[in-house]
Amino acid sequence: MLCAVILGLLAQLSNTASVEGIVAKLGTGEPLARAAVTLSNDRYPSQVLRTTTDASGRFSFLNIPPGEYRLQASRQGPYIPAEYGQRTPTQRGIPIPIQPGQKITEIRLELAPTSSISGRILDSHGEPVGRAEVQALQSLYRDGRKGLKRVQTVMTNDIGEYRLRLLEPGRYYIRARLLNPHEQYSHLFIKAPAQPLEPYQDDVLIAAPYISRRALEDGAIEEYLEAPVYFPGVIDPEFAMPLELRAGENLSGFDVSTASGHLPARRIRGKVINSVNGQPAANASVVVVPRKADSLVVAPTARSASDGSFEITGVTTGSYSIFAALYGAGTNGNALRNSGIASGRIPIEIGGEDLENLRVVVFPNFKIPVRLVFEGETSDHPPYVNGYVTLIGDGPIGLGWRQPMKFITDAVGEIEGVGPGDYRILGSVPGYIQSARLGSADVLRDGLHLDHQPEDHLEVVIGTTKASVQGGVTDGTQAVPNAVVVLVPSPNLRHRSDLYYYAATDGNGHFQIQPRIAPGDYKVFAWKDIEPGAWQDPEVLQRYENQGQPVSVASDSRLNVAVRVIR
Amino acid sequence: MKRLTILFFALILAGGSRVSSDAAAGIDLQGVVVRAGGSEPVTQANVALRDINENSRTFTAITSEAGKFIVRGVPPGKYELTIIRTGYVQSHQPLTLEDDPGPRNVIVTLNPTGAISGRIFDEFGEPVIGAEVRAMKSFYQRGGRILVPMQTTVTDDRGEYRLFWLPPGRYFVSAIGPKMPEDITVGGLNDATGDLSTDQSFRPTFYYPNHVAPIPQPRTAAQETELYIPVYFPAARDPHAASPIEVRSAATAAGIDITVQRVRKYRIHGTVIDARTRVVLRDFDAWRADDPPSYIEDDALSFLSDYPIPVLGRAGEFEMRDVIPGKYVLIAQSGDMSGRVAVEVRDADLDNVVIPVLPGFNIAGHLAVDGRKEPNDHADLAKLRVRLRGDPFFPWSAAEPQAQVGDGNFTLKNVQAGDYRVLVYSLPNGFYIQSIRLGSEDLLNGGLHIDRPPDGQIDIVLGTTPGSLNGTVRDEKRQPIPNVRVLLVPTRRNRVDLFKTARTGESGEFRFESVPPGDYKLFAREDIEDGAWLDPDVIEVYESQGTAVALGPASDQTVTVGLIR
Repeated sequence: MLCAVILGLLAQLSNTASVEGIVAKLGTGEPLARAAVTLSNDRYPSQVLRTTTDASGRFSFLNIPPGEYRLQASRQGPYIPAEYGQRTPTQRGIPIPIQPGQKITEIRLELAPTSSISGRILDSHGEPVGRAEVQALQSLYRDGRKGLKRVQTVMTNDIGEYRLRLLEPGRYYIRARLLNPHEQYSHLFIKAPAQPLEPYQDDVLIAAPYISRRALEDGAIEEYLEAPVYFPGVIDPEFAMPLELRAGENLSGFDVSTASGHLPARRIRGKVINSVNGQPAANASVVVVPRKADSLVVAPTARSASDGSFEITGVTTGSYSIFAALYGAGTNGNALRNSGIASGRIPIEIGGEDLENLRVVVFPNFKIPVRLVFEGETSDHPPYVNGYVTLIGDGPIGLGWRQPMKFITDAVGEIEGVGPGDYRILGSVPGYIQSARLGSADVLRDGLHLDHQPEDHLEVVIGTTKASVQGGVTDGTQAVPNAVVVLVPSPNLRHRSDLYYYAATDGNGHFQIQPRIAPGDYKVFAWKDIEPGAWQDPEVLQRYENQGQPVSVASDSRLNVAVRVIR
Repeated sequence: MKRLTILFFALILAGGSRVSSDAAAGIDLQGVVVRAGGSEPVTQANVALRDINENSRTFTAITSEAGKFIVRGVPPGKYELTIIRTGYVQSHQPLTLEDDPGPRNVIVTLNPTGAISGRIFDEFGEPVIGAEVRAMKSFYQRGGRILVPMQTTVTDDRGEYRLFWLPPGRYFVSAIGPKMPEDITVGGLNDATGDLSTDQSFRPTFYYPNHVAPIPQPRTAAQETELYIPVYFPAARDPHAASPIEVRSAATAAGIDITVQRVRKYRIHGTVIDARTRVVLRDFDAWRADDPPSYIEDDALSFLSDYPIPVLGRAGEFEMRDVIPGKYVLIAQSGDMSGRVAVEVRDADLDNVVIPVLPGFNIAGHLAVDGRKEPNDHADLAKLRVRLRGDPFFPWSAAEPQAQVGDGNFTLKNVQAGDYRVLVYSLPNGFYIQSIRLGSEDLLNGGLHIDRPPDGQIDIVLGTTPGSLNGTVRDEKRQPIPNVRVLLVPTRRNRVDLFKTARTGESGEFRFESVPPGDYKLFAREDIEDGAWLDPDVIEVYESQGTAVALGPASDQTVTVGLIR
């Protein structure tokens, strides 16, 4: 991105301002006609000035009231929409202050073309596959751990060709999955360039397994599980090879063979037993989850019959966890969603054959009584709470299983339906969680390990804080807009996701991390460009440890910090 | 009476043979599935052998690498053999398995599907990204042809599209520009019969920081005031001026390029009033439909334009946005009142449109059987139901007025003003609808248009003397042709309820039972796909090659039908 040279000529003749300039293609610099250009005021977002560039790529806005404006451009092409002042094609830009009578000319906006990746998906015989699902993935940090998020889903056509398109520059992984050919669904999702994923679009996808069937010459049928594969053709995402895409690059010929995903399908047959009476449990929900989960989890499910028996298809050789849950009379729960009134979980290994006679015993889930205590004056904090406490554990899917608290009276409640396992506590309360103890166990520090019904209650002390941190980020000489400022807790607390606070700097390099920061010692870091959440990854943070600035936050602190951006 | 007795007797016989066949070992059916035009085997095809007398009994198999399949232990009987494989047209054929020892062999030929591809451009010759392209087939509607989408896709970043796995035939292709120029996230795509799947998902415990706010997608001023309209290949705004594209087996109709068009969009403002008191109503639903409506009579294919619901103002006025010039019917419903008004949008917003609504009214009716005074001899006629189906059919409109025939007199309650078809469920064998009249109006052929309580009642007369048609399809060498589709088409082409199809058996024979008397034409053509008989252009081409037949009451006619190639 070139910085514009702004010639500010204060006009003696008129008080209204004007902005004129050119929109060009990034790279070649060729002017772009028929580009849509807008000038918008952050304070009055509905008042947007629009125009279109002419045949020589030029635009002009006249008679503009003074104020702070953002200049944006977009165009069919395809191009990534651009904002004046951005450092990279997908970042926000900086607002332009316009004085009365100011005439800004020769302002320049460059549009980066989008990129694409194309190729074919081949089956285990090397034949192109029609209507296979192909996804473009990018790495994502969740709770300090690296995972993959889907930014696009397309399908191959009848000759097996796919085209992942309208991609921003970046690093991508490709995942391909054979689908049941008789499933009529069409899978198409394209994240628009320079738009973030909506939170719901970022979710983990759970899919039913596709079991393909092959007939042998004597008429016998063999079943295969068609597991997703990652470019260049591996089933383990750890061995997936990323592709680097630059703006405007169209990579072709990236064929992916699904042969490694073509695996003999095995079955699991067993019974769900209710530990309370030793009898088979009917209508239990049974889920089988691969031990290594990712943004796409292929999890077959089943329901136990009246004799407690169940049969699961769609697994293959490998490590899994099997999870069963029983629900109240008359309800039909789903183990993918919650663990009902009794549950059980066992790890299993599947070898070269079906797994027979598996006994899954379900034990009654625990009920944890919870008491919230408020630190500070009772006059300031009436005992009612409009927030909740949640236990997050290693649920059947292992990716953020939560069980919220149910209120009985204002500050007393219980968390029910909790099975044995390890949990962390999370709260959405006015204030912060100062301490959480169950009997003598320090749940906040060590987590909660549950293997029997607790006799004590969980006592959660909510501390009040009005602490805030604000300031400015510079590189030594200039303010740095659109930087990310992060408050990282002290090393012994770095496993606590709730103690990381972050904000972005505005056009003048200023930031404000909103009040309610838990008191403690932190280090402030500011990055120009970092993958969101990477700061929770110890391997990433250790590179920058020395450049963090220590700050001490008390519950009534209002700190103002000058931060140096990380080089 | 006689007919029923024969039926009963036949049932006993069939039951008897089935019992004896269960005791036998069963037949092995061996088959091979090959691609038309050669002997290349078709692998991974799904084979289903369905007992036509007992629908629930189906044997399945899959073809191997050599295209072969085996189904073992099949009891003798009459079956339908269905082969399904992506990339090929589904094949159905009748198969009779005799009680002979030894395996039975069959060869099935599958026709590959075809494709349509092309590029979509804007008025400056640049490719359009995210344009929605549809392959459609034409179907009958009263008085004209309407197009129904069979498959939909969007153009990629080069403006290119490909519609594939299309059964060979005639298609029309339309393209419409994206709703917003950069709106490339497609929410709902359905091809043929599907929707976007819904995945179950979990919410992660992480959200993006504030600085990844989206860069707004600027739009031009023109894009604010204009809307894309569908353009039919080659460049028609009117579907009647569209040119069909012939999709051939294993071939791609390439270069089907279309330039999108935009028109000014307008708004319709109005109110809904109680027609009796002229009071403006606040609690109502209002929507609009094209006039003439785009729908088809066969419910399985009903397709409606889904205009968004209008925006409601505080004083009860509604605003319909994004309206392109054309004729519309505006419909409003409030409680048990409803009404409609016809409007036309030309080159300006429509203001002060008033939709008056009225409560429904009752319509009396009488059902009789031709030649008899009362239907009280036939207990099953008492259970018949008469129903009024809205025309156009809106799935979300109020429940359809219906009544049970009972002793022959019925009353349809709370009928709203509008257009309807009169339907009678479910006619037993041997009966057909001979006439439906309201006074002198012929409702059977012309539909019911009602806007006030009628003088008179609906008279339905059932006929009891249907005819039947049987015959043989022969080619130009007088050879009988098995497994070919025969269409029975009434001369009154809008009587979609009278269209029938059958498939010839192994000796080229076919039979149509319970055919209401009248004038028909029979067409026999290989590979005529589902729904094509509802395509007036298809019938038109073969009109002179059809076999005319005038079927009298209670007559059983035998006819030879020439195969149309």
